[in-house]
Amino acid sequence: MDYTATQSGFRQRKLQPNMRLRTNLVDGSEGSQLFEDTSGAASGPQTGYSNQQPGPQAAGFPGQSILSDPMSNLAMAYGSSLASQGREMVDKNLDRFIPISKLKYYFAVDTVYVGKKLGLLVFPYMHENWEVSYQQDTPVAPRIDVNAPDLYIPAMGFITYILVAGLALGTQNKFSPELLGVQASSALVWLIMEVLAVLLSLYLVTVNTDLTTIDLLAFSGYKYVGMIVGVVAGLLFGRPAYYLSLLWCCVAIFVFMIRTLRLKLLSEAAAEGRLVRGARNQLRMYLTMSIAGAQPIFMYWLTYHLIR
Amino acid sequence: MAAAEEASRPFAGLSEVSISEDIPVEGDISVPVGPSTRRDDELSTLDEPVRETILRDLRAVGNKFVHVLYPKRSTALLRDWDLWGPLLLCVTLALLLQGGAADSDDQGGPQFAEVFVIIWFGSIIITLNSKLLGGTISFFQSLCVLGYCILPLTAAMAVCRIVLVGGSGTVSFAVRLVVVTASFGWSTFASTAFLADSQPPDRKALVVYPVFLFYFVIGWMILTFSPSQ
Repeated sequence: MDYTATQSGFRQRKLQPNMRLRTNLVDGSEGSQLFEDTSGAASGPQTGYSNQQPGPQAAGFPGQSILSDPMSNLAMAYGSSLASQGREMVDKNLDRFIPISKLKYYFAVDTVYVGKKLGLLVFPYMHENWEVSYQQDTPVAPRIDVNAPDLYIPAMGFITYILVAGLALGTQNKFSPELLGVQASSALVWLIMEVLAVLLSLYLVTVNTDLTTIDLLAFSGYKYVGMIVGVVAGLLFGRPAYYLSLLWCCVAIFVFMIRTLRLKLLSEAAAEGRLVRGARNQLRMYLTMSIAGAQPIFMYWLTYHLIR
Repeated sequence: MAAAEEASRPFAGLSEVSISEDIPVEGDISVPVGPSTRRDDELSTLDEPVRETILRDLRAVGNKFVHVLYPKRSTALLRDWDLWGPLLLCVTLALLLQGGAADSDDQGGPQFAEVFVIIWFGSIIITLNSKLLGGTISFFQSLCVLGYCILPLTAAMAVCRIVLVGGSGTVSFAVRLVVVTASFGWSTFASTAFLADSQPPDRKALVVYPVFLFYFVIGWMILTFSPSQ
């Protein structure tokens, strides 16, 4: 009688830490989880045989179980709280290096936005309003405003570029899976160097702008779309098609970058197109032009060896 | 005396109280003994023979294989995720891709480690993408789904190897192309049946695209496999 009472009491107390941990694991996504998250530290009794240590302890030695039940119960509670504390610490420290919540903003996209943005990257001439709309001091999610930068297109563009490069090298009979890794790492290094160079020049010119590093990463990643279009055209239709489509995409991305960066880097008056004299504005203008001009150079540099 | 009578008066009528049979009395006073002993049996899997333990895992893995082959909206793959199946499939695929000559003469086919890295890193990237896009699926559940849906491609690899025994001319290439394309479509369809449910409808295509790329790469590796002379 006493044994079963402590047993059921133990079971109840064991369930509570599980409930706490499970609500902790919902972590910011809209609380309605479609599927049970059984991946956390507190996978419940449903997974069967994973949380077994109190059981055999209690079953094997009924004499000692009355004594060990409170102890094992304490140990369970302490262990689960330790696990949740550890998880919080990991999240906090990870958040310092890779700001996960900020990253989520850049992935708040939907299919319509991606389609419109891809069209804009290839044909930016008809678009009139390049302002990013704000909502009480925070920029609006990319889903709502087509001018906001996102990280989905650069990330997918990078991966597709590597695969298309592998394909192109395969048609030249030069493919091996190691080359995929070589292409990936070299493209990544060029990207990082470009972002660092832009950051350095922004610092030197002392522009105070609200461009973050991730924004710059996103803008530098938009050129992969043009590269992919060029390489695919070259694979399908031969070298002239490659040169033509690459030229078109280079001009398009040049115009896109100028129109986007103009609003961020230049002063209000210069952004509207009026000529404003002054060394500072001229410097910023040169900076904008050189950032935009670096894009076609990189696009050519990273793709010319793929089409022979 | 009077006080005692007073005290006993509130309880005086108690002796006449009786609970009639047709008033349901809720609740259970007795502590059930049955479930605790059953739970003891369930919990003490230390005593069962090793074969039982292994067979239980194998049966779970086999059950999920069946779910992949006939993909319908079910949560079986996701509720009890495990990574044994993906590991088995990955190792089988990597072993089958051994001993081939790639296009260039001095390099062999994909090394064992390369296949592993491509499959697991690809799955991790797709999972990160899905989570960042705001999916409600957890990390390991997504890895589990993507790994299990490699099953059709592994089967296609086995078929390709058999076809290649007969020769590697144009006919065999056409047959292999058809088989690999069909299994690639099957894999993508099966995994989207599980993964797309966890996203809001305006982002489904964004999640499906990297999955498509992932299985395309694996299919490409299978198609370009040619045995060394």
